[in-house]
Amino acid sequence: MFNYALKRVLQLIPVLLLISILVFSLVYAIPGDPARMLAPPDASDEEIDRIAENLGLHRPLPVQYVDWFLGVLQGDWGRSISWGRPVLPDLLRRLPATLQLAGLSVIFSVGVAIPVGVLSATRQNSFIDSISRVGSLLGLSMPNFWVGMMLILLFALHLRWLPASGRRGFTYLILPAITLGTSGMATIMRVTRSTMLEVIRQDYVRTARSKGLSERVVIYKHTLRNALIAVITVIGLQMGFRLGGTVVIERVFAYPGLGQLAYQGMMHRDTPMIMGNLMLFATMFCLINLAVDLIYAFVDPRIRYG
Amino acid sequence: MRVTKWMWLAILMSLFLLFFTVGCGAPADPPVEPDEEVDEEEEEEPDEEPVAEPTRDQIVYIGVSSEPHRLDPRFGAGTVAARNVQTLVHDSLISWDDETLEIEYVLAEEVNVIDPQTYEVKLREGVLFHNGEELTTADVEYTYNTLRDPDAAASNFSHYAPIVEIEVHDDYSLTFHLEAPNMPFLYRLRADIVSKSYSEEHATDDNPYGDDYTNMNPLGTGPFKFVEWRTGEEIILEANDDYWQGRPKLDRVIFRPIPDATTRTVELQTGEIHINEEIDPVQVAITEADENVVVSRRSQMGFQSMGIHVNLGEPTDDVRVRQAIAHMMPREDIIDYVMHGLGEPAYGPIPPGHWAHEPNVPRFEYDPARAQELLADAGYPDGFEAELYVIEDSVRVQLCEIIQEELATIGIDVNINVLEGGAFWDQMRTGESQMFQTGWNAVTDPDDFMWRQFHSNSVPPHGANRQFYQNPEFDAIIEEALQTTEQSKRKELYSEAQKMVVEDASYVFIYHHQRALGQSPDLRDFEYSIYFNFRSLMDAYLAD
Repeated sequence: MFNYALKRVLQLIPVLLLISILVFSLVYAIPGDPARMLAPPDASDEEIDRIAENLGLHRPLPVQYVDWFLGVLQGDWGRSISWGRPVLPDLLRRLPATLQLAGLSVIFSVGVAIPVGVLSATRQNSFIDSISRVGSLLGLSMPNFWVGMMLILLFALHLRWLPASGRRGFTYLILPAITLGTSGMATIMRVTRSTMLEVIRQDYVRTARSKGLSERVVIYKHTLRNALIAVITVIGLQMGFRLGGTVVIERVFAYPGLGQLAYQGMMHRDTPMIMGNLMLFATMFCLINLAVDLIYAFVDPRIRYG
Repeated sequence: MRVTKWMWLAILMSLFLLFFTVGCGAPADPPVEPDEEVDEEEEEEPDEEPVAEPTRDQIVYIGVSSEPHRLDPRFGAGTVAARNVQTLVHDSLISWDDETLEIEYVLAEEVNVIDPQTYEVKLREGVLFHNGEELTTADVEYTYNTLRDPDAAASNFSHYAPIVEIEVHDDYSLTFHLEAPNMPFLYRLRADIVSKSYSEEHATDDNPYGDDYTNMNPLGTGPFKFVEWRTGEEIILEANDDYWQGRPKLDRVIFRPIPDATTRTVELQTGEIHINEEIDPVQVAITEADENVVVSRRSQMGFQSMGIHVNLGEPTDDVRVRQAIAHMMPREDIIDYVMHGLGEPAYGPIPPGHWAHEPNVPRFEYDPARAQELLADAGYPDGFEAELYVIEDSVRVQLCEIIQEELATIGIDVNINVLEGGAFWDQMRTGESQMFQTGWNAVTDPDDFMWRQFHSNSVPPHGANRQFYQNPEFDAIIEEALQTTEQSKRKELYSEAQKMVVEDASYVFIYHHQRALGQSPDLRDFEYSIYFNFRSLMDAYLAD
């Protein structure tokens, strides 16, 4: 198992390398000129060319990439074009805020989705089931920035229960975490319900019932446990998506995390900043996938990694 | 085997928890100083006794739309976000009235324009930087030397490039020598002054101006001292007890970047912030209806316009065609429906209020009949097809769609090309855009409204004369104005110039835009300035 994990971690290297080349080229393929955005609004084309040259943007793309790559190998992730300072310290300072938000949103979505999904599967076509199905459909269909705005208007403006923006304590996390977790919650709920329904029709569940086990044991030990593999897969994917979701959500809630930094980087075509962010996001995404694969083996004893 | 699996899970879970708790630790960080945590709730505490001095905590929170990147004014003066902080932490030699643009002295005690290329400055004595050192001409010289150094990549380099020599006479007087007569330079004396010793202290071989440090830790002579910048969260300033104009009444000013316009509005309505830097035009009406918010509008000192190429062949090379287009501009509708009222109709470049504004320019009012007549005279009674370029921005695109509709009624079939930022400027750079929508903002000297947009030498890539307006008579007037010291004489020349550019209609002026700002009714004696942002907070206070 250790060898397997090690192998998977080593596989990260080529994956990240490919991602970095792809993203680096993509940033340059997007129209937009970082020098223009840095220049005062009335700057002439000549001045903008001068700024571009100062930034080294006039060099061919592969040269710029290799320059950046060699820097990263030495722990220098480059200087942000718009902020004019090294990107790594900024990224690391913001990382905990984003992990915390993403973590809480996953706890929220899993905490709500699995119990409701189980209930709705065991009481198929009941009132609860209908509510949860409509709810998950809504959760999936509503764009999350809009959900965020509605929550702000309701809980911050009208009811004044919770703060609308910032990060000065736990209460500041509640609205963004719920917003970020809504669509994940809906997905997990649907998968839990459908997998449970599938498993519940299996012969061994009928056997378990017929040998007189309590419904509780049947549901939690025999049904849910077997449905869990699919649910965990979805949770893992959702955790990855949550990281991406922070880019939008952090902006709505003025939450000081990586997502806002990524957004600002993109708005300024700030390549080192975008690259730094994406490398962190990609690494986390890969590690989450690895964790999910390892958890499979724990949940389902039939799965083994040599 | 099962034990190993448990172990792995335990390791994974604890790693996750570790990350999570590391994250949770952050907001619990002790504040730098206890009074920073003070919340709005305390404001509701009953006053013990009415006294003349305000009793509530004098801490103002400002919700700003974007976070600054570089706080050192030598390098970050290009953005509103950075100017917000800089104008409070620093002082400049001069400033000016926001509406008339008449010059006022700040750190300068006197500015003598010896001739339009020689500016003598006498410095106020006894002004202290926040580190206790006295401001001298060495600091002024150092600041301007950075600004004019082509290798420094400072903000607004072109403004300071004309300086050929800075002659220091003594600790309190110096003279700027320019390469050529340049009256707008008077307005360039607004650059915020930084401390030479402080910057040099933090300079390294890789970073000769020390801006790696000063961008994060600015130091000036201004009414507020920089305390702390928690990126993404807040920038904290506190009153400068030794300020030469007297200590500000406010104890602290805290900037909170809140990028979303709706969130910013809500935060002002709930009292979490005292100033909302910018209200989205769509939300102005709703915000004005809230009695807990005072909405003010400030002219942006600029204009939005549509450029028409005069040198790209038929039909726009004919002035009658361009004037016809100008007559089809529905200014009021655009202001009402696109800008939600945040604007004033523009008939010329320089906004009303500015000392050089000329009210008697030819006014091309909305007049379809006259437009049709002009088109027929020019030989296009049935109209023609035209290309219009616009940057991808919902307001600007809407504006162009209205223009398109209007022009269609007189037979001009406009094809709107919506281009994303970089692509748009690449298109502008070609100098071959038949019609294009652009605007100017926070402009100061009348020359800044003229030279870069209309002088013959300003065609791309040297300037922004993307419509290739070339009129030797006009050039001669603005060249003379550049060398004229006397303001009344300059005003006459620019009046003439304004009439010319309007008449020739290489630009159709649409509106002078305004910015809406929301503030708490408790905040007194504060007025936002387009050029000096929150500077008047030095006199403001929170009423009980």
